[in-house]
Amino acid sequence: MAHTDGIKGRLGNMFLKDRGNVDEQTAALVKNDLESVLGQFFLLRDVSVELAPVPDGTVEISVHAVGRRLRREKS
Amino acid sequence: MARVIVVTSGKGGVGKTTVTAGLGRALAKRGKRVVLMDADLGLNNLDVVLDAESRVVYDILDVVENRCRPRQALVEDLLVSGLYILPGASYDDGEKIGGQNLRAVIHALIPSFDFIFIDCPAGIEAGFHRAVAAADEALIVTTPHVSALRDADKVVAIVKSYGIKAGLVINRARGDMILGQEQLGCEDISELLQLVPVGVLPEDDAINTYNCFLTEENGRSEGDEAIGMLADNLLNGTTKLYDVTKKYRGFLGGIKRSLKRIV
Repeated sequence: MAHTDGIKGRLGNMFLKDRGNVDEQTAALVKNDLESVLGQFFLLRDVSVELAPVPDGTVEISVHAVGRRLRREKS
Repeated sequence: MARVIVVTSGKGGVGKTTVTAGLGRALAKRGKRVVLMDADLGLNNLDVVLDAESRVVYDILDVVENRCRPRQALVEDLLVSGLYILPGASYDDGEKIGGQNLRAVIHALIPSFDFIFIDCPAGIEAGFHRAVAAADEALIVTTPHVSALRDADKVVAIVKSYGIKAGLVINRARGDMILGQEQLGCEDISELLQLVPVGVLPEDDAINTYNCFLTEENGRSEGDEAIGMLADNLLNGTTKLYDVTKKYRGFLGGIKRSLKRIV
């Protein structure tokens, strides 16, 4: 078996595993940015972001966050 | 109206900046007006590759913060007229430069140029997304090595999720190793990444020496010929690829391959 056949097989397996992780990484990136912005206004308790590919090529983005408003201290 | 193309790879060190610079020179030599935008904040190198670092006055951060107009920040290439660099900032201030900022700068330049290339930082973090979000097309640069291909595949998936058309550029290909089935060839890589190849660039000592393509007026190296073919493909929509194996075929080619193993 040529050396390149082994490389192709190895890459094929890696790609299958990695391709499933891309949406997770994108969701993590969005979640970090969202927490940063929302955290300026709310004391966040629960933030989650999920990306679910839809068969027509679009992506359903679900965002859930719960928090208490940050109160300004009275001077 | 300019075509806005991001040059990306995932893995660092595969030749994004070198390919961006060489492609810019090749297109400018063909009469096109080209801007190369360095979006690699903090580790910017496009000015160095094109021998322009001593002539940089303003950079992308100065443009975004309105200290100068976009055209004031452009540095013209000394070797090829019609090629300009928009230098990157020497430090990474990602909070000030988002995808929308880059897009606004590009919009200001689009009417006056034919091509705007965005030299993307390595990785798939915020800097990568900033660069890809500002582009309409992508060139994904990879080498035939396993680690580069793995990262390129991740980038392909993300770029496709942006709805951007992508083309494949294979850099540092070794014709002797491809014939010896020790390195993946263009067809294998194209099949693995599910991308149409638009350029194949050979491992070229001239590039190692001079850090860029087309540094001599007559463009004598193999890399110069290959980058010219890539430029023609971008201009004409063709997919004619440089054959990195041609000099290693036949009787004399076999001798060259053997000598390469020994020396």
